[in-house]
Amino acid sequence: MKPLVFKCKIKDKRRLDMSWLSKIKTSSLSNIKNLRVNYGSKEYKLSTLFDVSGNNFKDIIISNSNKHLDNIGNNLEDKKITIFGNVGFGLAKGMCSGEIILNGNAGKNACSGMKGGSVHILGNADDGFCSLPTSMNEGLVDGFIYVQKSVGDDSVVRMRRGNIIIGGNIGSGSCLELISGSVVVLGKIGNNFCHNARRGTIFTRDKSICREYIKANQTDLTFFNFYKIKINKILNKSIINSSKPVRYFGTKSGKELIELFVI
Amino acid sequence: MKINGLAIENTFAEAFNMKASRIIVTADNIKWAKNAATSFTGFATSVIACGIEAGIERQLKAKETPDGRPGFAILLFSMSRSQLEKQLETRAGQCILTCPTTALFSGLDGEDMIPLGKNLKYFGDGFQISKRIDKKRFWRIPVMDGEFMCEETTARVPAIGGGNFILLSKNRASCLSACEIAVNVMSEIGNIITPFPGGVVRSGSKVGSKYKALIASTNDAFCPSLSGITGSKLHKSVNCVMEIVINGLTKEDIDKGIRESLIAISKSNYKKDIVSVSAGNYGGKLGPHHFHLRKILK
Repeated sequence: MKPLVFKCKIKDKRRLDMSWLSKIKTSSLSNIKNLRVNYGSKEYKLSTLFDVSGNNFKDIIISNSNKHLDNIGNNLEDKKITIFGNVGFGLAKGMCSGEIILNGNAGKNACSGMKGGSVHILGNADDGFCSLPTSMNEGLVDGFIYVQKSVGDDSVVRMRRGNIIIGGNIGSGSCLELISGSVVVLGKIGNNFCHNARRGTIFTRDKSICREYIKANQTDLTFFNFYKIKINKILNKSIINSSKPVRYFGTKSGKELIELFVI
Repeated sequence: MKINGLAIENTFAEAFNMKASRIIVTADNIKWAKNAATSFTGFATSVIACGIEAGIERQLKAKETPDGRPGFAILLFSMSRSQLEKQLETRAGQCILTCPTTALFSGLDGEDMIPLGKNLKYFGDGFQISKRIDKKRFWRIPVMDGEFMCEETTARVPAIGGGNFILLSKNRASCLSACEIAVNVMSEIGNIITPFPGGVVRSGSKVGSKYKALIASTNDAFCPSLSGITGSKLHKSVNCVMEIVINGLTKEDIDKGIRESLIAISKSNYKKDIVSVSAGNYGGKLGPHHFHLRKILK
């Protein structure tokens, strides 16, 4: 079976809501081509907006995406979407399961309200990454997210569980009200990080935030090596190299049980 | 039938359906992993009185374990789900949680999950930390040497218990040495364990007893010391009988264990003292799995 490939024909700069992509169910290629999609103020046949080929409806490729395509992978379940090019806002919003690989940059509010699955953004993610979607109380319920470069301001709000690996920097006001989960930031951390957080584990190289945390005894923890091996294996590259991290546990200002590994 | 001069009787071993699970115990070094593993698998020779049958399946290198430390894979077998759950939790709590530097992981994937660290986490008294990675949940329980890390659940799978063969020997020394060869061979084969001490049983049993309270008693037909008194199945030249019981995840795994260990015995110097190889069964009416020795060795 060949992946279902979408090649975008749109030349103008109006935005296109791609939520329909996650809802494609097993049917014939002609049915997909005849899908009616709203674009601007009109409804179009999908074949007028995209060249479509292939027959594997669980493996989707967008071969030439651009920043005007919004909500790709919205509420996605059990599908794989590979994207070449940038995307607009709302990538993987409310995603439940499956996999998204983005070879480009993501717009605002990527992975917002995600509940499961894995997202690999091989570029930057704009502001509001893993932010709180309307109608939800948590910005990330579960899932695995890897961002190769940096993420913007106000990212990761009320994260409940899951794993976020950020290869670059994270903007200011991030990890607000962190509930639990693990966040790895290999670059610099912006201001106001982990404000009002309760629990969770942070792995960072940025020592500037350590002064707010209580330095813990440097006991050997099985978890650190386990996590290091697991993450390096999932991403198939060395993300965490340190073998002797400095551990901080709890904040000086309150009773929060945040754990910080300086790697 | 003879294999390299080793006589194989035309009989079969009778085995039963069981439920099995696999866990992985790791530690800072192999010594402490072994301490935990041997403690965990202690008093787990037979479901008759131990609740489960358990044994070390094999030693794992550091690169084979989830946390990059050396460890052991342990297989557990039980007749019922509830016994398996109960014994797993009790033994994990008393033998692995307590053992310095150890961590505990599931060694099987499946749909039927049973608790592993799910209830052990309460030992953390609210300081336990949950981590969910790759669709699996792990618990970090603070303990005095750092933390005890364990996976929340492990899988339970259908399995077979009670595969066996019996060595009938002219003398005890050769019988024991031949058994040791067999157990060594089987320790290299995955998915099976030999749950008895050193992998060998000298007290093979029959169903029932003259004493009403007992459900099993000595297999007098295979006791050389009773050969002149009871309906003995032993040739006059047989002076020692030992049995190896094999539990495995599939019939093929047990077949492989029996075949390779008997071939290894047949190539050893001890075969000259082995009168024949037999197997334990109950007439074929109790257990659904029959391991015909000659078919396996064909």
